[in-house]
Amino acid sequence: MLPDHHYFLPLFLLSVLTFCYSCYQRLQLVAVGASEERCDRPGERLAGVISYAFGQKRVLSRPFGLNHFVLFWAFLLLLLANVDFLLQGLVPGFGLEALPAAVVKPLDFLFDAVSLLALVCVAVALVRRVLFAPSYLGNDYTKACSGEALLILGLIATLMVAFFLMNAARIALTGGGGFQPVSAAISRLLAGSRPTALATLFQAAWWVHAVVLLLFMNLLPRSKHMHILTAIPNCFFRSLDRPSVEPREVFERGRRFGVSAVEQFSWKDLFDSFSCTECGRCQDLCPAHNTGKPLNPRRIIHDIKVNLLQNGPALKQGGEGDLPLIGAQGEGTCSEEALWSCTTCGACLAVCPVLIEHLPKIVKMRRHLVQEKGRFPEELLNLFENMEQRSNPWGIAPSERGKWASLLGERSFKPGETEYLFFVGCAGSFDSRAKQITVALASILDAAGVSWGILGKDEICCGDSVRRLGNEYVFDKMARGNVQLFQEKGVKRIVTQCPHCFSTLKNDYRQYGLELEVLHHSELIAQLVSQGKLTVPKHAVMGKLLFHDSCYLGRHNDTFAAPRAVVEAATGQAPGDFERSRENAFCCGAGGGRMWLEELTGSRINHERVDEALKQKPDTICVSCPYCMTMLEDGLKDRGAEQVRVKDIAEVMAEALKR
Amino acid sequence: MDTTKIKKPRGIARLVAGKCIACGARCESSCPVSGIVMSEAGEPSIHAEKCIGCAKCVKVCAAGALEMFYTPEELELLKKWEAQHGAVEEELDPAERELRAMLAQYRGVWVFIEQYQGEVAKVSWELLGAGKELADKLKVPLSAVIIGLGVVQLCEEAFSYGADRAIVLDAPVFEHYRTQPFCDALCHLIGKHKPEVILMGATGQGRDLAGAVATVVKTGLTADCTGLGIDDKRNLMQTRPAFGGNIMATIMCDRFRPQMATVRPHVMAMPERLPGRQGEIVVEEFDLREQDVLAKVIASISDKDGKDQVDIAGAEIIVSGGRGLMGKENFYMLKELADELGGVVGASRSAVDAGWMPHSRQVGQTGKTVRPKIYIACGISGAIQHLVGMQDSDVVIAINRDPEAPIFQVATYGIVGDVFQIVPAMTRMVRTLKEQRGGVIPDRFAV
Amino acid sequence: MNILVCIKQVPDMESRFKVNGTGDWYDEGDLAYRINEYDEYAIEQAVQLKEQLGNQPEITVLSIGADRVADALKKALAMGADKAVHIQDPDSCKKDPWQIADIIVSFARDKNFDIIFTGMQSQDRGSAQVGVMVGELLDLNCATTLVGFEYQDGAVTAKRELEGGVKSVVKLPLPAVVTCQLGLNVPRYPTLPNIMKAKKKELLGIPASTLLKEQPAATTEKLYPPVKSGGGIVLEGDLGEMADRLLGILKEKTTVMK
Repeated sequence: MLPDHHYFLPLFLLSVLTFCYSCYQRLQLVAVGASEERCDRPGERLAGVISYAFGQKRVLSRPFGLNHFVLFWAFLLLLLANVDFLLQGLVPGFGLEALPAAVVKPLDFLFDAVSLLALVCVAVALVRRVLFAPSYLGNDYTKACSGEALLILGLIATLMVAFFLMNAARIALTGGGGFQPVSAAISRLLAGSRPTALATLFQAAWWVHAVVLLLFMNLLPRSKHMHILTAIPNCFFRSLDRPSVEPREVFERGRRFGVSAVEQFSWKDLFDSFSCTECGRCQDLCPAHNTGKPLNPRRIIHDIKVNLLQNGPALKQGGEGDLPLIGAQGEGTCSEEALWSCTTCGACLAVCPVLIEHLPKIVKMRRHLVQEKGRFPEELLNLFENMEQRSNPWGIAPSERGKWASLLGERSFKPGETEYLFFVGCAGSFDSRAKQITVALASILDAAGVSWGILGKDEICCGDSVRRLGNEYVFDKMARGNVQLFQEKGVKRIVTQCPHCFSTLKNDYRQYGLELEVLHHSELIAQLVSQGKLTVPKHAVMGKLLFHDSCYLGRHNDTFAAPRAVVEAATGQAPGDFERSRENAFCCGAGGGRMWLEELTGSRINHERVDEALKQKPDTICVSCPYCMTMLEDGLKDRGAEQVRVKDIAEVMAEALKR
Repeated sequence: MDTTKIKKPRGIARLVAGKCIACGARCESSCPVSGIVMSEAGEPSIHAEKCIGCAKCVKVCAAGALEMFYTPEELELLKKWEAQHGAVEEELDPAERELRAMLAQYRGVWVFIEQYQGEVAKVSWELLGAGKELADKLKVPLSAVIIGLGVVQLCEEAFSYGADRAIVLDAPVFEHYRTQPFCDALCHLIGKHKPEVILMGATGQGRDLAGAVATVVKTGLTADCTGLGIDDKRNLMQTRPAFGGNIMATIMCDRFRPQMATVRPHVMAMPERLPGRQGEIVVEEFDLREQDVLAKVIASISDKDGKDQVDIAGAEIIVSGGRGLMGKENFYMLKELADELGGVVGASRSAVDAGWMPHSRQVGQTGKTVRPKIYIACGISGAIQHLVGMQDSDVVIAINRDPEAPIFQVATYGIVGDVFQIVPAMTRMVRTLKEQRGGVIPDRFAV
Repeated sequence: MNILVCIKQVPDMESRFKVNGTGDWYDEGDLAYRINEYDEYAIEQAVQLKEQLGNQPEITVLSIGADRVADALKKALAMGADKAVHIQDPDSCKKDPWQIADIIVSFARDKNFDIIFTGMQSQDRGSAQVGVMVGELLDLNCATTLVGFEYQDGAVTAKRELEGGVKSVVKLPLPAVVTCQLGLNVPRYPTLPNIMKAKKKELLGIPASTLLKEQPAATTEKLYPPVKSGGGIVLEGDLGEMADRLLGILKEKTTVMK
């Protein structure tokens, strides 16, 4: 009854050959990229694969992810059914049938039931795409109802339907089907048909299933469904360190600095581009995209893929591609404005279900623009010179750095005596508003009896902004300077009041061999509270208080609880959350060096964030970062909502400690 | 006369109460015997027993806070010593005598009158005022030097501002300013009349010409002076700021003549104009043909009317507005005040963001850095991004409702109050004052 | 074409200046140094000219001073100059503009430079004389305070800033000296490959004593800190009174109201 395998065998071999060839071609393209170690710590990597790939951890973080979860597992199980199907087509009688009935019967049931589930999921997905498509599924190069999406859904549905028809015809002809309830139900509809008709139906369904299966397989490497093949390895090859920490560069003559052409990316960057599922979640959360900037993280990944495919043939020959990677925006080319629009908030990194690393790619391209081309928004010239010359973004005399502490008496860090180095940071040292936070924190540390000291005029900027802006050469100098200073002074513990200093010192400086205990002030204050070293005599009255998560404290360092604990200890109430909070928090607009750039396109990121807050009519917005402070205060003023106060967590705590 | 050799008494240094400016222990570091110790307040205390009377600290002190103290006996000795040595000091070596003879040949104070098509830059009149004081001290006439085409009628104006004499070169070749012909002409006049002091405006033209002339006649030139005086040997003492105003320097040119100095506009006060004041007109000639001049002036361009090309970076008075102005229309109020003061209007980032002013007027981190003489900040709270762009202004006047606004930390003068009342009131008062004074001075060349 | 750019290394103007023990210069300890900003415009203009002429001209950049001056020269090389001349003089700060010009002229006299670029003035001394003096001593055409520069067929068309918004456009046949003012251009940010290349470019050291022949024309008698402007005065009172006080301040601080 099975179809003639003499016809099937060549078809199968041809399909497998073309599939393998397509995969080989793509892998060859990935191999064009620069080398990068992504196989270390295999245990940790495998654990990641289990949770992110098989557990679909990130996928499930959104309600509709359940549909994908079911489809994913259906797909895995049906993989077995399809192997069986293909084997039988090649060698009649060779397949699961040969196994004992005790194994075959449950499998029959499983395949039958799962196929139905898959069909339902496909239908749900189709309805969603056609009728209730969320805006982030589409963008300027694709639509929610793109032909490709519909084709794939259609093919999966066809496979399922063919599977059922095939089984139903067989049951109608030969009986059985006790463990295949769905197929059996369909077979009852076929009851009474002539056997020849049933045999023809079987043959037809079998061939449809076979052809569609082989077609689907060959479509994979040529579509966004490549992720079916690459997502699992991509989870394995993920960055085990903070993906927001960009790799160091080697400053030698004759090297390239940053990325100006697709082949200068690492192989993993290129592999990422083949792993994108086009789910659009990064696009949905991106503050730049949401406020009308030309940046779309998904588009960056897509453009890298298009660029790689188009330039691929030339690159494989060792030549250069024609399509520029950076230039006038078009498919396969990223515009400079898009690259400069990124706030490095990391929302894309945190949400991507397949762990694509968007942010480092943007920074790598910025590095090229800054270091090899000297091309950047003109406001940055001032910033870079100030950073190089005076080691702070405003170009204020370095001797002014420790001035805020002059009223507190001698507060220098003394090697061997002082426990905590208070790394004040540029904003905390120079910006009059942020200086109030610095003083508040100093008073809290004093109240808790913590031994702390500052470096005064010897402290230099941590280099966060220059690094995110792609000026790695200057960052490198600053990082080496600071690390040397910390080592000379025998610093063991550092507390910062700025999440940017915090993350840079803690994560980025690790690349320079600095492994110290670095605490953000929220963590230290929370510790002091829980250790009973800080007792609040009277709760601070802040009215309705909302806590705004700083990207570099929250998303980039998973510190969500500590600042909330501080607010709760100080006010006696857990702070309220923004609509978008914690991992999904919306950036204030100042990260990634955007603090120093004009925001000329679209609407203001800080306005969007402030509007989100004002919906809840808060009295106080609590922050944990001096940049957020500036952006939210400015946004509130622009919105005429000056009655809403913006306070740092340290100020709230200091208020509570006041007698 | 007593001929026994007297040892000159050296005295002991001591502090003049209330004069020390705590400059940073220069006296301490100048003392060769470590006889000076600085107090907490940065004032010196002198160990009399260590002092050897070298007077180095007295010389180094900028504030005149140290003096040499002599006992009455020492004073007596000093008088005798001076009587003995007075004559000796006058004995000069031949080179010195020659120098003095050369210096004595040069007499008179000149002010170079900078003009554009017959319109005189205000700084030249200011310099006539300063030059008059020098001339009076030196007891010599003050001359205005006018080079150009059709400029004879400027002489009377020069006399009315204090010139005793006008030296005029009037020829087509001088129609536009060019370094070479003007330099040659002025050097010719210097050779002929030998003035001891020449003052010019420290303007684009003045700096250019002064530098060239000083090179040709081989003399010293001090640019951008803020103070001019005459010492007891008829030398010009020139005071000027250096290092962006962080340090003042006194510069002398005691071995060369003429002594040349340039002065920025608005530094010296405008002298009183006395119409009808008379003087001597000296018309000179200098043989220079147009074809011998290599550089050609193609055009003169005035940006004065192109209001949107206002360069706030170079302005000397800026009236700047921020979010506190509440709306675009209110910037007109600032413009009125700026116009009355001869200044320009600037803005903070938030005012530019709101679309109230163009980006070219933005002062601050992502805008322009300005260093005007006067910066009037109206309704600007003073975020650090703004402060870094204007904190080097000579005088900052801040008007803001919020007494806590950070702008008051950099303000020389702060006014806690309503911008909408204070600014119009100031404009009215400036206007009234100008009307009372009458005869409005042509402001065209004063920024 | 042969281009010379004369640059000066100056202390960062944000530094806290203290007069030194001998009262004739500032205390050099603890200061950061950079290229005089006006000289950066000069370097940029020279490099733009070189690019305009298909990279054919050779740019020599010259600076006088102590060993640290090499940093400034390296930055100029990274911006696009071809070779550097360091005229070594630990005491360059004691030289007056006349002597500085003399040193430059001694070096440049037999080198046939077609065009010499320099800053309008230095940020530290700010005498604005050296450029003009060099032009005069070498008998070259000279235009100062440039805010616009064009080169065509052996002549420079320069837009000069005069005063109060008045500018003039002057045509200068080469050889010539020009001094550059703020607004002429935006100096480029040296790219990393160029910084690396600059390390290999020629840096010639010449002791200043072999070039200097002149005595100073003007001497600095003394340096002293300026009188502190009285700051932080908050005015109070009624409207008329405050406006009146302000007017008094304006009168005192400027000549506008006199």
